[in-house]
Amino acid sequence: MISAHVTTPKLIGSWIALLVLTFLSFGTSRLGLGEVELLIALSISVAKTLIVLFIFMHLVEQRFANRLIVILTFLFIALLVSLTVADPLTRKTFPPRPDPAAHPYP
Amino acid sequence: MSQATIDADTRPGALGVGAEHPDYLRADSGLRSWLLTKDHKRIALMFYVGVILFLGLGGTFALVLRTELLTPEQTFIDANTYNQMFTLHGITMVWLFMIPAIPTVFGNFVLPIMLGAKDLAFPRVNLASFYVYVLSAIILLGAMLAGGADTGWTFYVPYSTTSPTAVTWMGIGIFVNGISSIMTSVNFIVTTHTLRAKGLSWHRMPLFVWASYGTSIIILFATPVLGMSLLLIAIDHTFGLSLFNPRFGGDPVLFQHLFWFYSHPAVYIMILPAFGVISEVVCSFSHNKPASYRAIAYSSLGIAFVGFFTWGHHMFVAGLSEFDAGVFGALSMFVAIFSAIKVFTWVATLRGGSISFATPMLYFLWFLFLFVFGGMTGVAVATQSLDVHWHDTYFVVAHFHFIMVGGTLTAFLAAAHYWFPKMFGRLYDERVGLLTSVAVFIGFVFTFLPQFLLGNGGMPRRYFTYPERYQWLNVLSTGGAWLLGAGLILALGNLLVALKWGKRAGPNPWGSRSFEWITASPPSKHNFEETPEIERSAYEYTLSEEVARERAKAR
Repeated sequence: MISAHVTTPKLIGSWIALLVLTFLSFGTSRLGLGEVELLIALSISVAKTLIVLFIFMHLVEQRFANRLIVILTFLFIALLVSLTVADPLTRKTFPPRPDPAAHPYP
Repeated sequence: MSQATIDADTRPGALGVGAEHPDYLRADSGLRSWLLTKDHKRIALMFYVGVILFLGLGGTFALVLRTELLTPEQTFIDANTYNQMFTLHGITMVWLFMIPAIPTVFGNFVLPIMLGAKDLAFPRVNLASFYVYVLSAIILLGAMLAGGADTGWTFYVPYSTTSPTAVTWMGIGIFVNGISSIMTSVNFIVTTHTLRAKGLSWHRMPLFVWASYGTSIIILFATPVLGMSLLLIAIDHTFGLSLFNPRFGGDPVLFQHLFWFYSHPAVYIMILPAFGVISEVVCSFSHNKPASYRAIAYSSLGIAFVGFFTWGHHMFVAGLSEFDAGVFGALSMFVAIFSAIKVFTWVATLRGGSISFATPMLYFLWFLFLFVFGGMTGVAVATQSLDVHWHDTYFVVAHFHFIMVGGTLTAFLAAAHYWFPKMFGRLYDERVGLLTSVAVFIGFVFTFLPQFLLGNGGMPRRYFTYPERYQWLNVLSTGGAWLLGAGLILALGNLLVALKWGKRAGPNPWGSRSFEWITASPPSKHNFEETPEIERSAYEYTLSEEVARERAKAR
């Protein structure tokens, strides 16, 4: 069942949103926020991906089963990233590993 | 007979529905009619030839390895050739035989018929998937001839990025192979959703369809990650980008995360279709409905799901954090729960059935023994403290061969015998079939059982020489490998002879109630003249009152 239509105003609105998010992504990279920067950049790129999928690729018009595939795909990426990132974040080495910032490029 | 209504009371005509038309083998002739066919059955046969050739090639590599290990010192190949052989054996067997074997051959052939469809949803994509598979095989064979690879099938960094062998082309070949797998899986998913015959609800579908559906989901989600990981290796190997090099902020263990995120579910890509075959065989040859249809069907999806949460158990000694190791160790145990549900349900299906011991049924018994054995040792190596002792020893080699070969290969052979009359309309020699089945089983056990002992005794894998005290077990293992090889060649010979001289099978020689047996054997070009209406489940075995009363008394 078609629940929504992608109309021209919606396409233009989405395009503007993508441009705004691109500038936002660029702007936050200039603020020097440290580790949070990566999180913000990834969140913005996820938002942009969703706009492209749902509006430009017309997923919004599809039935729930088809949308579910995209939702599941995101969950699988989240699974891959979370358990992989959990590994270096929880590693304890003995003796403690040297700080790479001290000698970044040997 | 043009009306195909599949219900409990109506039996097909003597020759099956659609038998008045020429079968798919004779409907068209000439090489062009095969190479450009869009018929799922002919594409399945072309895949059949391909996977058998690569089983032979991978098997030959294995026999070279085992023969080299006959003596403690160098027997007939050098260390570099040995490294090449185990890598090529792994790559050939995993990507060119085991992953495509059951889905592309038997899935392609019987899945649309089981659903009452004339073909898969995308016949052209199906044909394209075959040529993409061939292309990947050509790239991989070319890479084997142009330097091969000596990294092992796992392509671990840092060695894979610096190896002087053709790692880049191997990676590209496997990447292309993944595209073929994805094409097949998309076809299966769409066909299952959209081309089911009228009346064929999800809970009436044959269990093989459920297994193929679960497999397709895993392929769809996991294969892109493998493609991406191997492309990173190929780029790193070619351009020296040091993507996983700690000196430049990389992490070699990250590659293992990416690789096993695909490659652990890949084990289920290999074994889930085997589960589907086994479910069909056990019901057909015990002439009984499954003890719990839903338990088998849903556990396939359960395995497909939890299989994605366990990849870290391959990395317990690779520097994985204690936290991650604990999480992955615990999550790995869930697979055993779903596998056990299946095993118990199959065994319970035998109860009260009318069992006939044809060759596929014998393969089911071998499967049961080998899969349970392999599965239990899997629980053992997923236990972190034990894995530290067994990691990278022959214990692990024996474990995954019990699952992947003992499980997938025996199911493949069961399917090859079970659906042989369906595919070719002839019967193979049952006595030779049973004998070759016994040879395969004994050969297999003699090959891999000693390897558990070798591994537990401390013999590491991927070494081409070893201390003398390990020799007698290695001799047993090598002897077993040759017997296994002979059993496989004889089984193939038996089927080839039956192609020409086998007795005519009739539409349903096993008395199965599954839907693929309603059509003629071999089926006509379009399977059914009219889309059939399904009015029963695929396992409705009705017993005569007399037999039912006798069985009730026996219980």
